[in-house]
Amino acid sequence: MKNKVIATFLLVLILAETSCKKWLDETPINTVTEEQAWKNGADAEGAVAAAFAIFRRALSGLTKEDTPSTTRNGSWGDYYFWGDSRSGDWITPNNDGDWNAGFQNHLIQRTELEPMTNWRLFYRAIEQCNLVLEKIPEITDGLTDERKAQLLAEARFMRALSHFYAARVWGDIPINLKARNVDALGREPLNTVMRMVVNEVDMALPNLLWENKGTIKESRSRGTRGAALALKAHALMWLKDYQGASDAIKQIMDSNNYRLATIDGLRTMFDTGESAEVIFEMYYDKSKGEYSDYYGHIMTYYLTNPYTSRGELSLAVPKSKILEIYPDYARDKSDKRVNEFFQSIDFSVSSSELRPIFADPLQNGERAIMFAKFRKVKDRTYNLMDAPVPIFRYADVLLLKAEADARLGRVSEALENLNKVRTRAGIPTFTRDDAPVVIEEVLAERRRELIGEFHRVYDLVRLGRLHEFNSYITEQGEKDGAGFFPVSDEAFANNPNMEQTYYWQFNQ
Amino acid sequence: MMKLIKAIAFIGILFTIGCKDSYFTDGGAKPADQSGNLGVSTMDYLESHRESFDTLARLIRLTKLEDEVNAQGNTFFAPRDYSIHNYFKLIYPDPQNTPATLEAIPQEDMDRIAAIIKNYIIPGDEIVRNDLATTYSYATTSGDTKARFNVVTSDYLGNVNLGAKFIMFSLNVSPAGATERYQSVQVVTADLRSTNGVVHILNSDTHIFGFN
Repeated sequence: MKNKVIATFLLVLILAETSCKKWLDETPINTVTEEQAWKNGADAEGAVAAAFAIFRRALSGLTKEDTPSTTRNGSWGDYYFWGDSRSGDWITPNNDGDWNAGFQNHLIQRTELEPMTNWRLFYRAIEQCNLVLEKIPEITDGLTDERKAQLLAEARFMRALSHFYAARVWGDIPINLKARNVDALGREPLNTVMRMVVNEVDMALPNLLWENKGTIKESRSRGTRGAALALKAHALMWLKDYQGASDAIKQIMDSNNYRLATIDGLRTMFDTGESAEVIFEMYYDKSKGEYSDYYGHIMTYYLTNPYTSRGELSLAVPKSKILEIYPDYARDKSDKRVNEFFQSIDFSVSSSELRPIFADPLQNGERAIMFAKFRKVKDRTYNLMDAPVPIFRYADVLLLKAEADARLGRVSEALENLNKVRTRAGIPTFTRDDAPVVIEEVLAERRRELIGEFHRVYDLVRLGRLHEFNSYITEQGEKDGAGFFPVSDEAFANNPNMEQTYYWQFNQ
Repeated sequence: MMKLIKAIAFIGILFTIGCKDSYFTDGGAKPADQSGNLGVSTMDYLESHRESFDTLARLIRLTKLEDEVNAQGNTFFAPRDYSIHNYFKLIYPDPQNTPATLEAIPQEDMDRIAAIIKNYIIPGDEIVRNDLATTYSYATTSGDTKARFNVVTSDYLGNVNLGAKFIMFSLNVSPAGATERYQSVQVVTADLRSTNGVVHILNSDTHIFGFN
């Protein structure tokens, strides 16, 4: 009897477990298929917007949902880890092992850092652009020729930008200009990639507008002529074509479409992206349901209470480093950027309250100063990070032009642009007129102005000088490719032409 | 049937004994009986915990402050070695010019270290967590600097007045006469009672020796 009861019970249990098979599910009849997807103007608009959306996700990084080989639950704001963390300027005050490994260029041994070595999302953005460039020319329904040309130019710009961004992170990368590519692509030399970027931009430029419709952030989160010229100038700097870079930026300046914000206007620019200084950014807008949750936006990690409910800093620039980077502030507190970019929080107040912010940005000690360039409303929620991710802005290209001009021996022109940025920050104009000193100063100024904006590591890698600032990287190591990220295992699957960066064949 | 019952009983036993929380470790700052009574003097305590305090103990000996640390009825806030390590990294940024041993530190730097250690000593005042409140209270350190104390609670969910209570120890970092500016550090292990006074251990991740 008892046995029967147990057996019945087990039977019921087995039935209950297995009865949930989804054999009733069918593909709904409204699924969009390839043939239906490219019919009219609205499809074309959506397809191009999707390319930009994928690129924004590529910046924040891969998650477990993107690829099973990834362990990470959410993305981390990888643009920071690619473009800033190895610059030698950062510490992790709570000694997070993953981030320390990142600072020290140990990019393979930690499984949590592995997703950062994966370029899959950049190639998804590229693939989307390739599809757009193949399919949109055939669409005639609800799409004027003029708009069609603009959309194609935007796709071309985004394809170039994705290649460019990936090339700065990984160095030599595959070039994919075909929709639905099935060939095993090998890596092309960095210079070939950059030349391709310049060519693509030149093709896109005639059809790009200076402004798209919408507010500034909506307009400048899509392809514009200014963004394309900034991209071209950056790519030409990698090719050491300083004349070309200087000319491209001259066009940006002559357009009178952009101008430096005031020092107080920096807040608006970083918080909302609505500033005439922005050239290209990727915005989030929580009123449209677009925001980055706890993970996914880098400002999660350096903000604490009162901006989020975190009690401790995870990423910071140490006080001694701030004083080294901003010598004018160390001397007489004249550099106004320190006040804009850094804050000291009263950590003696309970974390269940909104903690006050000290008047002196450097009041807290060496390891307890908050990098507050990007903030959010003080409400202590983790999510709703909707500050835009900056990519190019006017101060950035002015300084780039100053570097190019100085390298071409046009020191007075270089000083003019360098001093525009210095004057805004409230520090004395630079007057030395020997080119090498000016070039050094422009680099230091880029470090001061663009700290935490994902430029510093790329600047140093471009010049082969990362080893001077990051003691974990040797000169020979950098020559072997230590400045670039390693290629993830996933890229080697079914691809006999893929090769690991030389340095990363022997290092972790 | 008997076998099944035995098996279930066996699994039940496994479950019960599998849940011993003896894996829980707290860094060993408190005595094993969790009472907080160290049974030794403050100096002896620091010296017996070499993993956390050997540099601190040697610096106290080198600056001849043992008696002040061991004075009856005082409170000592103990910075861990990691805080001191970060301090040395800060004042000797160039590895070439870092003194090879603590004894080789130049006298003027040693004087500065002595002044710093004095700011971790509150003479003649036993500060314990239960006497403190969320509002501020003040005392003067052995180095004649104003120190401030309060208690914060934190339960990781942001609930008000719930969760663990931490002492916040803050020190006025302004020069004498200027407006007071406090820098704070969290106490991670509180209310250790030595034979001469009270010892609190400071968070070493963010705190750098000397409130730099």
